[in-house]
Amino acid sequence: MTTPQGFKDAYQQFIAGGWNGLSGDTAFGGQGLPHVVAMPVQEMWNSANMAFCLCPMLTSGVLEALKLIGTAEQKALYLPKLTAGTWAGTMNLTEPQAGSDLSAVRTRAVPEGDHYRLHGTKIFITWGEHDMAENIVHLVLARTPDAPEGVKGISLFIVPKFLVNADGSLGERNDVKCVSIEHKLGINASPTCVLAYGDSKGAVGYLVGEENRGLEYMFIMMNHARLGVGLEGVAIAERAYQHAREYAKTRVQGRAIGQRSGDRVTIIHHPDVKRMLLMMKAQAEAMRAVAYTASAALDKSRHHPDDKERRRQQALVDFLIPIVKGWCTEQCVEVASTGVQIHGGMGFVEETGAAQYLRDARITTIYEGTTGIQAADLVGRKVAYEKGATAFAIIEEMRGLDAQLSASSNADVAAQREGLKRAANAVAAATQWIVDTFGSNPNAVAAVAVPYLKLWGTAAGGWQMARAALIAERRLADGGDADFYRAKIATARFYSEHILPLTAALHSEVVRGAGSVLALEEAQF
Amino acid sequence: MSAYAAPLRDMKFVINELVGISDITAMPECAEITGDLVDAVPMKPPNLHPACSIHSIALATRKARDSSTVR
Repeated sequence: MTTPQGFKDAYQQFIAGGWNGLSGDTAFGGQGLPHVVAMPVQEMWNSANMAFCLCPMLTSGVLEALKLIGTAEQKALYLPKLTAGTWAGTMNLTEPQAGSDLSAVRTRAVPEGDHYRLHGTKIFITWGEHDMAENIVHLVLARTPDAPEGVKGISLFIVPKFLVNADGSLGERNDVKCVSIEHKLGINASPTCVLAYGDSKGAVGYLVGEENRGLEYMFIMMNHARLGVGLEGVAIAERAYQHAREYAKTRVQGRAIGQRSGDRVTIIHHPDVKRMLLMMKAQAEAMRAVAYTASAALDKSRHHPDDKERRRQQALVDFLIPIVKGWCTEQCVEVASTGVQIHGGMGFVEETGAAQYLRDARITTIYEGTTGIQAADLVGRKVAYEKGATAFAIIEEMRGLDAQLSASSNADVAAQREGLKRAANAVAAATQWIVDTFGSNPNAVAAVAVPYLKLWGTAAGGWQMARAALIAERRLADGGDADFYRAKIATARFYSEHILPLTAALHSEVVRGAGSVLALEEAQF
Repeated sequence: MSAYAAPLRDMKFVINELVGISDITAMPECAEITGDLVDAVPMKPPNLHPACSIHSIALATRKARDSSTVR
């Protein structure tokens, strides 16, 4: 597999600068920076080139897994090289018959001395084979011969492309090879591979943790990976916005409304184009605020000295992650599509570049668990399981802003009160419906889980934008950066008036819409 | 393809003011993280170059707590 021209060199510079180990463990050469500090950096990389970024992102998933469950020996052997980026990592879950349903995994792992021999086919392996790193460490889900059926019989294995000698040097080529590369809608510079394990005598694999607990381990690091994909949504939205803004400020077309003569204007002067740009800007800023908030909660859930606070932050992370993953990615598709719209016909041809963001964005709602999977996680494992405790705590925080918004002397800030109040009511009523209905009618809840997730994303964005407006108002009073803070208040008001009203419709869809979904029989489609 | 400019002003606003980095740096395990470090890290990647490594940024801006954590 040969990467596109320049990638290998860019990757070498990237790892030489130590960027691969930004939030890696200091014991293995990482910088140990909190996630929230790494967020803006990762956002930039993804805005610059999402296809490239997937390589270090997958490596960080492997790092996370081995850090949490690897033996001391495995850590010593793999973590320094993976932290440095000299070696890259991949995650091998999917098989042709096992996509969202991993219980159907069939890859076999047969014990042989201190290791196992793996046989099977894995598909959709991002950066499964390439020439940027000296070695590739595959983390693979497979079944041992006597494993129970279903999800409780799946184990996790390390399968290096080149076997690693005890001193860390590279040994012989393992029995795993890339047999094809997918042709995709987007992220075309990222090789998505079909990997064949054990075509001859079986790929050598080493068990991670205990047998049959592979899926449980996958879930431990899932939060991290899902936050990463949500951040891709923020990054693509920002990039698409910048691209459309540039076009809207340079493309001259028509005169301002009401002007029959005189100079023609750039299209940003047309109110509808302005509205679309604001839609993109407001969404990108709201998504960034919610995603970074989740990453700070992740840091606190791990490092806070108080046990009770750590647990509270963990609940907040668990609640916010499916929202960040599901909502930021769904929105980024919409934002990128609006970016194409602003370009008009020029957006539909590839040479302007606007279409690429839409194509790249499209995978984000699918991998690391589709939006449907995120929504099922949100309503079941998060909201119903704890009877909406975290959801209602956030709603209380939203409602707590009401007094500050109504007391504001800035009309643009005070105007946001109504939108936030209605959003809080909508999300509270929908949450109560989920809690009340989940036990008795799980099908009904499943039918409207995605609208519920979108309702939460939209409301959480409004919550953070209202907070942002209140902070901006205080900074303006202190004589701070007026251009930035005024734009922030105006953008938050736009969010409150153009985006938050969606919460009323989504609430209605959640509490009234399940029946019509379930009514139609298969033959009627 | 238009040039990308990192939205540094908004990123800093979200981290420093909206999320509140002081909550993070106040935790003992993150004690060596300084405001300078938080500001410096996102400023450098656009000029990605070995001379501009995370190691040199961290060395210059971390609180000197334990030299073994900084390379």
